[in-house]
Amino acid sequence: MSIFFSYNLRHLFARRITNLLTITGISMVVFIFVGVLMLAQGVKYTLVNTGSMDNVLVLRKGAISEIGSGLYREQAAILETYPDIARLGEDPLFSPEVVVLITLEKKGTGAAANVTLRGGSAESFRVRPQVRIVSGRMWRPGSNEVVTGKQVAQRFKNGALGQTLRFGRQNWTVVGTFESGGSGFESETWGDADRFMDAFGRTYYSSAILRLRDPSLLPTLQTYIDEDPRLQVSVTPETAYYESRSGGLVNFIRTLGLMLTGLFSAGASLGAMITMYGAVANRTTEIGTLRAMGFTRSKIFSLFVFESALVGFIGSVLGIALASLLQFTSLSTINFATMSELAYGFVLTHSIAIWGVLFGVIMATLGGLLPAIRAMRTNIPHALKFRGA
Amino acid sequence: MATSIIDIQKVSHSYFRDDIEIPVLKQLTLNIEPASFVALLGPSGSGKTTILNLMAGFDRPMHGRISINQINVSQLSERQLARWRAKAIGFIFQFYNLIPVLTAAENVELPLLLTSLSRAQRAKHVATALRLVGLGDRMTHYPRQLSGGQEQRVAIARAIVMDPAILLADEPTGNLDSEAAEEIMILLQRLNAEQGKTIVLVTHDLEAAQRATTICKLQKGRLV
Amino acid sequence: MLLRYVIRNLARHPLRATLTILAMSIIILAFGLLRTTVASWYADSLGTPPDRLRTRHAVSISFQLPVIYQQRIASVPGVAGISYANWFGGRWKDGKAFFPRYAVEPVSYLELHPEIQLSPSQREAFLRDRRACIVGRKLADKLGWDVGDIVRLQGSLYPGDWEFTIRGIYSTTSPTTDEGSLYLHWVAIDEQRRIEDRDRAGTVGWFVIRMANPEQAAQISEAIDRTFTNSMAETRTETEQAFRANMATMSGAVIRAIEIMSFLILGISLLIVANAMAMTVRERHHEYGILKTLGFRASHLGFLIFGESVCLALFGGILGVVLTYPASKGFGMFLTSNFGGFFATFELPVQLPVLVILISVGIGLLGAVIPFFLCLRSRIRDELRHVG
Ligand SMILES: Nc1ncnc2c1ncn2[C@@H]1O[C@H](COP(=O)(O)OP(=O)(O)OP(=O)(O)O)[C@@H](O)[C@H]1O
Ligand SMILES: [Mg+2]
Repeated sequence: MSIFFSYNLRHLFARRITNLLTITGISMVVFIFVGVLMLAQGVKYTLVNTGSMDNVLVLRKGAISEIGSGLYREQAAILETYPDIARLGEDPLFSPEVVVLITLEKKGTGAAANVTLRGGSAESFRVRPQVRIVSGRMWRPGSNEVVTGKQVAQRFKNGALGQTLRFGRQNWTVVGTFESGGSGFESETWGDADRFMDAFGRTYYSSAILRLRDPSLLPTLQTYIDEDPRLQVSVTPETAYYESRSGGLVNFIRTLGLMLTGLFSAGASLGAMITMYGAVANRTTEIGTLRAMGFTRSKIFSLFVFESALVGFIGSVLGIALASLLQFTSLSTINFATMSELAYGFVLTHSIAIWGVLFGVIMATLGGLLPAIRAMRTNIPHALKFRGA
Repeated sequence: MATSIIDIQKVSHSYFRDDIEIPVLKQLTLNIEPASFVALLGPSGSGKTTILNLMAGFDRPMHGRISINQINVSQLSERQLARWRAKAIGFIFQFYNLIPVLTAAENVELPLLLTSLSRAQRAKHVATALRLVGLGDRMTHYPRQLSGGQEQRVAIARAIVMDPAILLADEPTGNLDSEAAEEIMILLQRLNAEQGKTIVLVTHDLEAAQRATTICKLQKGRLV
Repeated sequence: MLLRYVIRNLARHPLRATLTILAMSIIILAFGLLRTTVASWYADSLGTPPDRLRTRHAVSISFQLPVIYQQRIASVPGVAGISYANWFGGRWKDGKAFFPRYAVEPVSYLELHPEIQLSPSQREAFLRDRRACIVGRKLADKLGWDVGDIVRLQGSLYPGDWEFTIRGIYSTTSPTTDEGSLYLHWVAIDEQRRIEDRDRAGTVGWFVIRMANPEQAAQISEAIDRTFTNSMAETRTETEQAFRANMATMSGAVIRAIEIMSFLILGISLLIVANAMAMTVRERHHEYGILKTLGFRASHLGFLIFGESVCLALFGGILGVVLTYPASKGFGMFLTSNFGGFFATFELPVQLPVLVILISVGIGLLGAVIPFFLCLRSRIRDELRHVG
């Protein structure tokens, strides 16, 4: 079959302007298709990565987000003494936190955007080992010092190390910036829980993060909570919580993106059809000759289908290559589940790439189907009457 | 008569244009013996190409019967026809019909792709066929790098590479100057004499026809 | 005469012309839907009456204001009416079908929002029953609700299991206000907070203010915010339009991505038109050669090629716009019912047809550039040889 392959390739080259235009068209559709999937994946990746498998998030019963939740100091104190909490040395891995939204001005446009503010303590870092201070230092407990996530430092006015943010009627010095492997925490600002409570006139925490000695102990914790009437709280694995945060936005990007991509890919499919009809018309004599040599109709059919699939393949590889460059950019938008700004990138996975190739090949092949049928139906004597080729 | 390789019995054929019947062949009977070289002469429009197409099974006769090697061609299915054609018939065209994007060797190799021969075996056959037509040194040339006569010789190599018993040639020299035409005719003559190919040649060129062993004249769909 | 030649040429390859026009129209259709999506995203902020202000907590929308601010705001000069609202939050069933739920002070809220239209009897019934709610027409249709049905919600901001009886189904007069929300009595839910969660009782998400004179929006906003400077909960007041536009810009990146996408796909249609024209020109090499021997100059051939290309693109574009109208109905229905939170309405921008026609002509012209140069590049000798 190798001669077929080179035969098809050479035909593509012989009509290179036409085929190049078609291939570019398909590559653009695949680029958009893959881009949409990468974007959805990026949001998901950012949010899913935010949670850690071993951590448990404690919220007020019924609350669906940290912002809308409340946890009293007494409740936190009870939970902290729970025996199955993992320990690092003496201290239990338990971090009660106050989480609020503030509005900060973005660099460049100056538009206001919501930013999640998380008040905690050194424990906040210990339960989340992936969060590391990369420049500056941790805030001093009890001070008006904050550390900003990488994305906040980059995208917001006065968010960088050494600058001063203003919120809650007070000034806050940025003494450090942190990274967390591209997770959602990088879009947050962290500081001292008590100072934040004071600044916002609150007397209670929002939520707490704890790590169990073994994640399988979660049901036991649940029973413990159910039995204590003072603990009107719910516990969820941190990963599950952040995954649910991604739902709306991911769904929105995917549905809208894929619906429209599906629509205009039909256009590109027609484009491929135009090209393939041209190819068939151009090669009428050739088809007649092949048939005269004893090539069956189905052979001729597969020859042209294969040629269009090849166009689709080349186009989609090109499109994916182009889309992979998107990985070097990042976007930020409001995440409706938290109402706060979230920065994320485009993430290319193997399965997205495979889907992209499949999409491109199917699109082109569909376009090539009718022309291939026409090629197959070519009447030999009629075809041989054509001159040229 | 049982010895004829091509047996055409009372074949009639018409074309239709806008519901008007254009009769082309009328009760044509023709027997061609194995290893003969038949030249089919006749004015333009007399039905030469039509009869050749019927022999190759490109079209089915409306009336009558065409048997080739005892096989009733008109009864074969599309698929069987294609398979049979690959083995039994070699076709040579006026305009060579080489595939421009393939080299001489690849053009000749095409029919072999329908067999289960290995790549090495195919290469051997291709080399033999091209050497036979005197183009052993032009294997990697593309059609556009060859002269008309050479192109036609590649086409002949392609027609014989499957070693069919029958070669059908429709005005193979019609597009060539007299010198190149003569070379082609000599080649066909050699194939007939040395390899025992049965050749049916359609031509306008009387001089070329002289090289055949039998000359048939066709006029208005009848042999004269 | 030349023009007639262009038209005849179009008909010479009916299959290719049809396919090109179809492909172009599909892409223009997608373009139209994308543009409409972008426009609808911002439409929210445009349709609100200009005489309303919104006062919220200065820190962010997640902070609440004490309901007692009401009197102080009402006494600010220029304030003609005031109401308040809060998010109820919570979830309905498995939480998959999302729709906004607001807890409001019903009498003043309905008075300040004349676009929420309710029959007098339903309004009466809603006001009388503290455990009542009203829902938008679209929402009711989507979830199969009717007056008298009970909506069960699981509270989040207001913990517990809640039941509200639908006492009315509202429609809206303004195409940009959504019919996809649920409104319930703020007092009903605040009552429970006063018992179980004293710290957060008596708070609202925002105040809605009607101005006596919309031209004074800036002064009134400033006056309100000044009233609460240095208090525990500072406020931020802005017009409703600004508030909504702000929400829309926060999702800027997604919208920008859609915008970029809409222009990328125009590129695809350009490629398709260019391709069809390149094939056409290639086929007519011989003919153009003959025309050149007849003395046709490049400009004449250009007219033929560009003319045909523009015709193709324009037909496709017009067909695309025509298709966009019915398609946007279905698409809009899908969006508003699935992403009602994002899109209250889905209306085609009025200038879309003009935009598409301009774009189509542009695509037609650009699409002919490569084919035209292909045609110019070849010499007469080559073209005439093309046959043999
Ligand atoms: N597909 C067709 N439809 C209608 N009429 C046809 C068709 N093919 C051939 N004919 C007619 O049949 C007659 C015989 O055609 P054929 O091609 O067999 O002639 P020929 O002898 O090969 O002529 P030439 O020497 O010019 O090649 C002609 O009159 C031709 O007009
Ligand atoms: Mg003939």
